[in-house]
Amino acid sequence: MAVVNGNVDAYGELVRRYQDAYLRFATRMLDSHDDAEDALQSAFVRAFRSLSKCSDPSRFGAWLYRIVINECRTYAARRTRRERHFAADGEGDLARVAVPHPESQAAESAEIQRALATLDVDQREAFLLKHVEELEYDAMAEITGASVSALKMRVQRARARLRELLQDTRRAS
Amino acid sequence: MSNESEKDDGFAERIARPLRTPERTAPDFAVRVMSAVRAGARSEQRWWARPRMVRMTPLSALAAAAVLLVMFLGVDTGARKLAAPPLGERLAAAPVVDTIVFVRFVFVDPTARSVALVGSFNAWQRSAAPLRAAGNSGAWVVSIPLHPGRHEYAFVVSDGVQEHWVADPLTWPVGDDFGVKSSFVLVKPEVAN
Repeated sequence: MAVVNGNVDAYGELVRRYQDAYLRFATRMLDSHDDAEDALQSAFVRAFRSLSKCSDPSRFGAWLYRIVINECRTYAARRTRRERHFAADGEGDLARVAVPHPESQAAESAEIQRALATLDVDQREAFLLKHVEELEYDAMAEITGASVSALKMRVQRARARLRELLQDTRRAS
Repeated sequence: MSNESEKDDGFAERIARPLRTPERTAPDFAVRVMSAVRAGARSEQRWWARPRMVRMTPLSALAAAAVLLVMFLGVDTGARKLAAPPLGERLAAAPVVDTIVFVRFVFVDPTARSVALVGSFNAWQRSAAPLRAAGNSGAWVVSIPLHPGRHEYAFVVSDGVQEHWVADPLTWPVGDDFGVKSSFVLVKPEVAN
């Protein structure tokens, strides 16, 4: 595989092949299109530098997915820290307000995305992989490194929490 | 399947459906990724290919020669046991130290037609890092990978007729010998948790 041997141009083809597919997951995870693009860009750069560790080139997609997921976790953690310490910092607000999520105009989508953002990272990730990306539990386990039973538990808890949050919102409105 | 479980699946499906709307990367996304990849590949190649000047005193030269001699001929001194593992093994075992940090630059000017980021990291080339408009807010953004250290930069703002060199209004400007103002950013290495 030319890419594993460090062929930069061949890697460009892989970037184009996976960029939109993984952007959806990253956008839902981070609730921001811009942060998602940044996380994805960072993941692609990291992946290129670690290509020699991709032991099975035919599983490149799953291997890359794992890097994207880890990068999203890092961005989510970094943003949590930033929001905690610099709540008054204008840049984060600017990025969020200036680039509204395309779906934010639809009230229901915005409500769902808000509820999703309150889940802890593990639960949000498991819910998105299962129900939005529609992966099987075995594939999720391969990508995340978590066991199937742990993932099932996370999905179940995410569903219960979302149900609770969305019912509360509807009762309140 | 129980009624409860079916209800649960139905609920999850209702939640997930609007979240499945596809997302599209910006048109220049792949180009930006590949310039970051190429920049990283170049800097990784450079550290060992870069010519270095080594100054040695006669005494240290003798010491270095002795060390080399022991490395090549020291079979009987036990040096074989201490010999370095093959390069492949060392590369695989070495901890990965990630020294690239993505920095987002934001510039606000609703009247601008285009904005470019120029700096010491891209040889001040205005085509290297164009900012993209963030909606209709007048904000322009770009994220680029930078190594830890001090980097000088400025924005080149075009109103469609003329281009203006502008220091970042959100930071203290620094001037060069000719009075041209620019800004600088200090990138700290990311500390692993």
